[in-house]
Amino acid sequence: MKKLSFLLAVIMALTFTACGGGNNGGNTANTDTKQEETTKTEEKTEEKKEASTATSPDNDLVIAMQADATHLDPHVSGNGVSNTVTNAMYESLVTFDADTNIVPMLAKEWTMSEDGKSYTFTLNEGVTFHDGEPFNAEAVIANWERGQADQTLRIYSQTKAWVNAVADSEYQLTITLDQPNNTFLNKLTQVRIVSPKAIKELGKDGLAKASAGTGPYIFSERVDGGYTKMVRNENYWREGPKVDTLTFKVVPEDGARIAMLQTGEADIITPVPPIQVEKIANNSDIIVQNEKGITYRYVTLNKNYTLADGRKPFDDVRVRQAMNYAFDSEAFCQVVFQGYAVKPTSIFSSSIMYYAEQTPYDKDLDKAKALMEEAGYADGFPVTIWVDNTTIEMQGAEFVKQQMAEINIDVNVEPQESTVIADRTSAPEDQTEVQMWYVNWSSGSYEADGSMRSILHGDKYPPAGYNTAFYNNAEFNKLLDDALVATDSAEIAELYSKAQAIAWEECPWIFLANDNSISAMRSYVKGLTYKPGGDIVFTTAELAQ
Amino acid sequence: MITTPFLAEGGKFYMSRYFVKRILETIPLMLVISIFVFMFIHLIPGDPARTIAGLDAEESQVEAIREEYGLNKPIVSQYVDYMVKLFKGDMGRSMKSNVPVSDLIADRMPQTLKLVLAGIIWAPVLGIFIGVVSAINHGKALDHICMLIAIMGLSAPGFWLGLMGIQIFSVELGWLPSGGLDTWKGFVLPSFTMGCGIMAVLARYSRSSMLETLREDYVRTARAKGQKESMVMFAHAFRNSLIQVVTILGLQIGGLLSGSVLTETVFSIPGIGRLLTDSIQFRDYAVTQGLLMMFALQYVLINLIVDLLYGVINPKIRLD
Repeated sequence: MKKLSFLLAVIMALTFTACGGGNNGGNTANTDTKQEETTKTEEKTEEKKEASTATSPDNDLVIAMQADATHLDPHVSGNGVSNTVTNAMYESLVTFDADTNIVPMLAKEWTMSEDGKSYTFTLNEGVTFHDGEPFNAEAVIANWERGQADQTLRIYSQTKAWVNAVADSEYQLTITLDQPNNTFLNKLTQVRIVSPKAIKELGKDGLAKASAGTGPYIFSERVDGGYTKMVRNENYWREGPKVDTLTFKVVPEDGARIAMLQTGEADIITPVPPIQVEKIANNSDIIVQNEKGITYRYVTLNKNYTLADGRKPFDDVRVRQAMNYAFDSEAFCQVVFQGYAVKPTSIFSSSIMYYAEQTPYDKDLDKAKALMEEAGYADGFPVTIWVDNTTIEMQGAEFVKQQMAEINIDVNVEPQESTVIADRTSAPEDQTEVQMWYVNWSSGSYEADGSMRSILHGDKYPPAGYNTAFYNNAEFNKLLDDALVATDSAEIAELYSKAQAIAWEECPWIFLANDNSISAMRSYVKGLTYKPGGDIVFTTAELAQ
Repeated sequence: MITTPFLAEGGKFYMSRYFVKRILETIPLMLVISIFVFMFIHLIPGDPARTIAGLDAEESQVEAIREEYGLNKPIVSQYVDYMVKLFKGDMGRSMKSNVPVSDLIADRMPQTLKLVLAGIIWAPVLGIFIGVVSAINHGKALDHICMLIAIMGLSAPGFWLGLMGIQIFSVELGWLPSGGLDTWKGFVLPSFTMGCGIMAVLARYSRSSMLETLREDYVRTARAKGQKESMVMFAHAFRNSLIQVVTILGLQIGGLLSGSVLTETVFSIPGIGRLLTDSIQFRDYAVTQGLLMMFALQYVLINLIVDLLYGVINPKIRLD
């Protein structure tokens, strides 16, 4: 007993000393740092003027990312992270500029036929693949044929709409579709061209550890889950990077990634979680890049959700609108995204093509309550919301819960693993258990169609799509279908504008927010360009020496 | 009572037969494990083909992936296919990265091995040392201090230790890198983060084990016979206390070889731990199966080695 109490006394003494000492020490430390801070700000203003002359200790660009590319063959992988990596080695016929305009890349110009069913591309000459093969019309055709031969490849679904691809001459290519498609060029930006020789000789196994594209960097080495290193392509066909090497490092832990930027072990990091921006914003050696994003977040409201008494609250537009009026998206952006998000002003975000601004559902609790009363739900009802079990998503769902409580809707938050949710939300209409689903969507090729079809079209009820609101508006469906095959851009814009207005008014979802894309880099990094949504392009990357 | 570490001629013969028997036993054991592993993984909800293809993929692509990986076949035939390939040395393909599982493991295992080595080089030695010192000075201040250190090592979350380490030694002081095992400096923080827990556990176990053996009759006898105190401590008490310690150490190493996903995540090390958690998240069946089978085999082998070591420590131990 004596020994025990002695031990306890030692522990308690140590703990209290630590706390007490901490407080006192803390106070003095605070005053000291405050003084330091004032001098620092003065110094900083001086430093900021000189920040642009900061130089890199080497000519090797290192970017730390949260996840690894799944596969280096651009016909196999297709998610955001993989694309950022493969885009450094492979290029497509056309691409997007920062304003979501389609601009030439490997194709220098193109024309569309009157009926919108065929496109003729004039390709750039003098371009070679990393393995020395020449880039030409035949090469593009070989890529299409690869998809036709192997349906497990992404290239197959990306080129499914092509009925035929013909080489009119060595550098002229005509692609025909069976009907006009206004997303053809959007989808074409995702078709990265691989050397036909590599397709035949290396296949997807070989291309996991080699590159055979036309891009500004050539594959050098890779450790799965660790890093992918590339060297500058000396035979690049146009103005390229000035850096010697480009390395994509995999750093899954946010804190470690930020640390790497601070120490200079990484020259660029992405993404930067909103909550960490403050930590590096005041550092004069670091530039934070806050770009408008393409991801939009929403909560789907299953119109078939039935209460115990048989009523279907989400089938009533008044209830759905009430929920939108009760939801304060501006506060949501502040609380969950530290201000690094914008309130929704249409179905999808403003960087997507054919975006048409709508009247936002600004918070109006009185209006919300009035609508609920009118619909007969003044006392509210219970409902369950499904959400991914990651911190920021769960935070968002809790926010939704809190907001809905103000109109007496009692939301039960049910976090689950994303794969499990993907399973459960693909259940068909008569078997599904989904009531509310906290989710997000984005179209990597910035399409209006791609941003709406899978999630709102009447033909896209699960499992064919992700329309878990089971929204089915005949006029909306027709507008989407007509717009898809229209060829005149003014007409397309008109159709999509009407479609957005309808879906916005009917609000089958609670519109939450569109988050920004935040990345950060050392001030000596130059020559980067950004695509809408924050995607980084390294073609002309340079490190100030 | 042990007087010599050498095995008698009869004992040696006994050990080899026992050794062979143990090895043969592992085969049915691994078979049973393989069945359990396979069934459990396939019971987890979630469609791997859809997860791999991506939410926006066409149904036809998802279906094509299912065909390619045989996911449409009945589960028993999938199991048989897998085992047949396994006996030929083919661990299957990763659905996510589309590369052979053996390639992935070959890529990642060295990283984990380096980390394990970095952890066990100092932690067990320090842990056992602290535990023995504690036991010898049982009840005195030194004992309490040592146990305090052990408790702190056990309670500090590895994750927190790691991030604090990065913040202090990497960002503030700039002495060590924030991640990766490229240079020797990169080993310091991860090794410390991983080793703390091991050191603490071994300290406590070796202390209690040592205390027990110190109370044994043969120790008192040795003292009574006039043997030097250091001889009593080392040749008798300590040697025998190692039995428990070696068991625990074996388990710890087995655990380390399964990769420490926390350490690997915090320090951006592409090891086996992260590979396992990623594969589970993506329902990458082949990778998860391959890894779990490998871990099971590792544990079985380690147990075998531990049992052998018992014999070295105390030849009189019969382990039937």
